[in-house]
Amino acid sequence: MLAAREHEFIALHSQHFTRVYHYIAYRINDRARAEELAADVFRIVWEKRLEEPPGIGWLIATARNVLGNEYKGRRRREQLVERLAEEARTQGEASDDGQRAAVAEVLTRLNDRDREVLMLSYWDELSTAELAESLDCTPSAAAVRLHRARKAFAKAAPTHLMTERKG
Amino acid sequence: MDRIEQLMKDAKPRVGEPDTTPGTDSARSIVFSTDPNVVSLAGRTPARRTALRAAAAGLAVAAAVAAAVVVGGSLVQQPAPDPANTGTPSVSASPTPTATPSPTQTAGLSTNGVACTPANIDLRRSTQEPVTEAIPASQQKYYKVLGCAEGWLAYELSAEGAQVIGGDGGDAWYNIAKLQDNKRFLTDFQQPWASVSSWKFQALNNDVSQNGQHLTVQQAMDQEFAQKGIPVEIRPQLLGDGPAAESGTGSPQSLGAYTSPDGRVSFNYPAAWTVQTKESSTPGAVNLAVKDASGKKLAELAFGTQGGGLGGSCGQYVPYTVLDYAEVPLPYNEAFEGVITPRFAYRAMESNGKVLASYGLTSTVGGADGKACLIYNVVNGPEESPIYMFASGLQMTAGLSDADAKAAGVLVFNTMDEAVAYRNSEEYKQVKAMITSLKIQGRDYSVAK
Repeated sequence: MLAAREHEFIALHSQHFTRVYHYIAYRINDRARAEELAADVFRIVWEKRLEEPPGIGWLIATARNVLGNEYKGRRRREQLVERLAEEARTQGEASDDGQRAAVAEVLTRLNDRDREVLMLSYWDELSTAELAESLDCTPSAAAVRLHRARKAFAKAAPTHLMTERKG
Repeated sequence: MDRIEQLMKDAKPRVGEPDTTPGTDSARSIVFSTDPNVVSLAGRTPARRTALRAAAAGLAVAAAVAAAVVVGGSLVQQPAPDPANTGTPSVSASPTPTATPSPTQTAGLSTNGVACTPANIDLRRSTQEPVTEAIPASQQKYYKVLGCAEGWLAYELSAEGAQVIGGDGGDAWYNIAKLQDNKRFLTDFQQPWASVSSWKFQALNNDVSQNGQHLTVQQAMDQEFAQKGIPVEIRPQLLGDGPAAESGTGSPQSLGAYTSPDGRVSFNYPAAWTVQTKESSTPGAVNLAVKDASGKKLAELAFGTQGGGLGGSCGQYVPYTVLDYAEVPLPYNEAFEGVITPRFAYRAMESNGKVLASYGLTSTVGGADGKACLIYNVVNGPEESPIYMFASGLQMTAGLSDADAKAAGVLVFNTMDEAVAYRNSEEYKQVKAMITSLKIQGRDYSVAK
């Protein structure tokens, strides 16, 4: 017989495990490791004995720290670059005229903060409120960060990338 | 969906479902990870590995707890729940200026004989072969017309709409449409005038602590109108008057005022905060602490104490950075060696892998060549108060332990980015506004000996 806390934890795990795993798997090139790290995030949740079940923003912030512990500083960026390169290679440039590779190139040139905000918004699909929770700031500050990151992206991207129509 | 969003989503790595089935078994393996009979991670991981992984997780938790203590040890309020291992201070939940524009009645509004309604707006997206399309009937409910005049129309997309339609930053911009020859309004996203920052963003973009601009939100909005070729004179008809002028400069909306019994020392503070005065053995001396609504101490003020030179020794010089400063017209002792004009400063020291930070009035620089070991948040004052302070704490020393930092009113951050982020918080803005509002009247001979 499981206690209420266990039930709550299992519900949380069912609800969010895939998203946390995806967050990590978007950023490193090792699926099995991504799964282990996602499991670590949930171990932390369990062991922290939080008063309330955490939201996805909190889980993502924790996943970011777990990733950060695993891949320090530049290593973390290299992981992402590898991940993006691998993706560009396996998903076939033929279909998108190298657009994916071009975006990857732009992303690697952004600073960590801008890149992370863009990835959180468009890959992990966090809402502004979740983004704020993940970045530990107010929703309006999160919206501003996204706004700034978008500006940085537009600035870093070659003109053809910004105007070309897909398809 | 706009171009950047589309590019990002197209470039999103394809990641399948995890092998771990979310929920029951894998979750139980965590719940019962101390039970040697339970094979964790859906049976893929050998038991010895489990033990190692559990140990690693334990370390991560220890790190998380340590970080929580760091945050708790700073002046900063702990958000609950706090993400593991992040020391980012919580941004206080004080109200940001309500940014809802209150333009004139929009129902039945028209300009140049055309009704200003979402049904009459066409959108031309920013793509290589732009197509002009009316806002679909099913989506019109997400658009709200804010105002119109002289063939221009301003409207916004609700946050819900931004989510449903797939746009982004629904609350960040107001869109602008221009009446065309075909008697329809058009928002051409390739034109600069297609959108302007919302009132809320004008306030944030013109944040004094960030870029030193002293524009009101109205001035900032008008500037953006002018830059984008939208007639500035119709701004009130399109977007209303905007939030109260003072909120654009980060000033607290509702202020309390403190004045010392002898009238010499006064300042303003947010009405929700409290001022706690302390008894002083020196007649006429002012000693007080300012706390926020939750009772967290944000600043201490001491004025009029005669004795007590500054002490403190230090051996370690570490890099320090001035993250923000603003000169404040206050009395100071020009004869004091190395004195600079009194100013509010927010300074950070990089010490032992952490960032220590404190804010307050000062009349001395932190140190030469970007290095400091002891930073004083005091002003070398006039005769009646040779030193005075209004700061998070009196001094900050390299190598402070977390507990000492807390006692000394020093904030502890994990990274410089976090220290910078705090500068953008509402709490910081309010504290800065309070400290820089300090006024000290000229020497009062009835009090001086």
